[in-house]
Amino acid sequence: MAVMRVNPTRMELTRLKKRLAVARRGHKLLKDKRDEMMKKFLELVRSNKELREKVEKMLMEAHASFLIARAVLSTEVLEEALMLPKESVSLEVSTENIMSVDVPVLDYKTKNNDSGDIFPYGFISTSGELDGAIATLSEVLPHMLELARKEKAAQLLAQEIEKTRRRVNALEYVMIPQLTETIKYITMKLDETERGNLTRLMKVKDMMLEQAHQFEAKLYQSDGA
Amino acid sequence: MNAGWVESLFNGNVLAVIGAALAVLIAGLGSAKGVGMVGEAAAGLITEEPEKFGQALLLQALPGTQGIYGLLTAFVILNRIGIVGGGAVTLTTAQGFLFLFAALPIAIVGYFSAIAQARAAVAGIGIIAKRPEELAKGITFSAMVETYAVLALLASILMVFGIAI
Amino acid sequence: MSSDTHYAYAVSRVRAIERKMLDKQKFDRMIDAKTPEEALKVLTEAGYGFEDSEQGNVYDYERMLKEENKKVYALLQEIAPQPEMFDLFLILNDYHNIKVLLKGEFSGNLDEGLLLDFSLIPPGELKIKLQERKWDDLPPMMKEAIEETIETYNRTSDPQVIDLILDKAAYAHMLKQAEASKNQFLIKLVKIKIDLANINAFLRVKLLKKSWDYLDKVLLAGGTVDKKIFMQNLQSPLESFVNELSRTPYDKLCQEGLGSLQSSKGITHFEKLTDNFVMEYVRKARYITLGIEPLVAYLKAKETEIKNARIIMVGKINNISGEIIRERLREAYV
Repeated sequence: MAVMRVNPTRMELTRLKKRLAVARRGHKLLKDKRDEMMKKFLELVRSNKELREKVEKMLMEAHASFLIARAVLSTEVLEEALMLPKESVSLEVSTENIMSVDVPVLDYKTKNNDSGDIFPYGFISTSGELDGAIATLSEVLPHMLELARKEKAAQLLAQEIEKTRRRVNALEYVMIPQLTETIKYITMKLDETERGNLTRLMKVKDMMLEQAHQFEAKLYQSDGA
Repeated sequence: MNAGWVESLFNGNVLAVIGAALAVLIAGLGSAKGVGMVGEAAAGLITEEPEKFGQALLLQALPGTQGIYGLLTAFVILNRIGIVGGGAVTLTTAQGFLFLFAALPIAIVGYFSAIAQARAAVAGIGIIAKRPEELAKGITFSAMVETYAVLALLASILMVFGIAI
Repeated sequence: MSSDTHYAYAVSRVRAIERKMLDKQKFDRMIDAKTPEEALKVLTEAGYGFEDSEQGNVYDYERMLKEENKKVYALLQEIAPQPEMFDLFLILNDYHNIKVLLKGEFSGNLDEGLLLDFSLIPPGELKIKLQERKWDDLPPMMKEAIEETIETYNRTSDPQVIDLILDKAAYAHMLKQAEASKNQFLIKLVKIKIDLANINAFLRVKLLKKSWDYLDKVLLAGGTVDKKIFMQNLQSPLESFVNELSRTPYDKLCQEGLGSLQSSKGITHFEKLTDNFVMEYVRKARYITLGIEPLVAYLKAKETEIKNARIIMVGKINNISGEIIRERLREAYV
């Protein structure tokens, strides 16, 4: 693992140690976040799947009855019946924060409150099969909006999870080892310097001792002569 | 002047001729209408399926017989009173009326039976439109009407021959 | 002598044409066809198609059916001694055109492809009349209905009123026209249609659990079944409604319809029964040799045939099983 290019000083060491501590804590937090998000995501996906199946089933039903209506009525009559819609839907989009992810919230309002009052056509020239199709479609709309919301939330959450995972990995496999290595390097460097100093001091001490001996010896020699 | 005109109208011979004329006229009218009607129907069929011409023609001819019966009756009357075939006789007014009334069965029955037969024949055209193989049945139904025309003819002829001159 | 003898030509021509109509075997062949193309071929063999022998693609079937419908009217107008008798059946198309034009105007988006050109008043003319609000020379009933529709829509901006008012007017107009023809067969036919439309609408309103008020707006006038019967039975169980109708010609129809509504077949089956009912009535014309009846019967038979052809084609294109298609097929005339 590469070592950062830093000056192996004590000050740097303290700074790096602090950073490592932060990184470790961050790593733990992010890991927790990731796990929690995974849990939420799985929940979301499960309910999403259920909803999706339901919506698909309803749409298939609507499609089937629409098909029959289409078979029984001529195109002109059918399209005339649906030319002008009776119901209008307004949609408001706001956001909700789940685990620091802004998921959209769809809020829809229909113009009419009466759910039986959605048929824009008369009952004389059209087929009853059309009623079924229109009713199912109008029933499926809230579910479809809910599904859209859930799918978008799942998508956003998945992105966020991916991002968090990358961060966790970066911390775990890059940042923290790098910091540890650098700290180790600085410590070693500092120890090395320390040892160098010690050796030097010991040498100086030896030299000083020698000098002191030689001086004595000289003194002794000169005395002997 | 006026009385002479009435007298000549009630002359026996004139009345007999009127009878003969009526037999041809009314029965012939019926037949003409009938044949025309079946002809129209046949034309409708032929527009779509020209190969059925022969069959349709057979049916069309059926209501034509009443006209012939009318003519036959007229011929017999004229023969009896001698306008045709010579030997002219003078008829009393009563005898004239007898001839006139003797002609009526074929005239009137002929007219209505021709039209009734034509309707049956039109239905027959309907049959051959759907099932050409059932032509014989269609003709039979239509021909049943003929019975009454024949009966009327019979009555008329018997009467004409029965009138004593 | 009645005037029905004028019909000799027309009737026998129609009888000859009826032979070429699609019968049960041909419908079976269409249903059992492996591809939509094969089913379409049966139709082309039966004389469907375009004037200029243009080879139709499978998805053109809708245009082909429309063309066929037009051809039927053209033929009847051509051969009938009193073509104006068939105006009766074109009235619905006029009202359809009015609906399309008004809805187009209100939504600002008019699709002229939805206009039907076999109608009393050519759609182009009608369009100009409506645009310029110059409708004084339209039939009074039509004119009043248009005025009422525009006024009501402007007040409520509810698109349903367009259909409600114009449907009512269309059938009233039809009945008036039938009565003017003094032909009992036609009058009765229109009345049957009104009754059946009312019964059908009643059932649908009932299924949707709507109010009396609403039902009152939907029901057509002029039928043989009294409006009161519908109104009284809106909230009571279906059985009592069926009981009320037990003394009308619709007894059997309602009994069977009740069964199908209670089982899973639903309203589709009932609608099929009503179509069959009309067919049965019209079938009586088989035994009438002269008169307008066989021509009307042919027209209705052709309409049913076209409906059946559409059901099969839609089914074939969408890969629906033969069983389901057969369940929905109307009884053929021939």
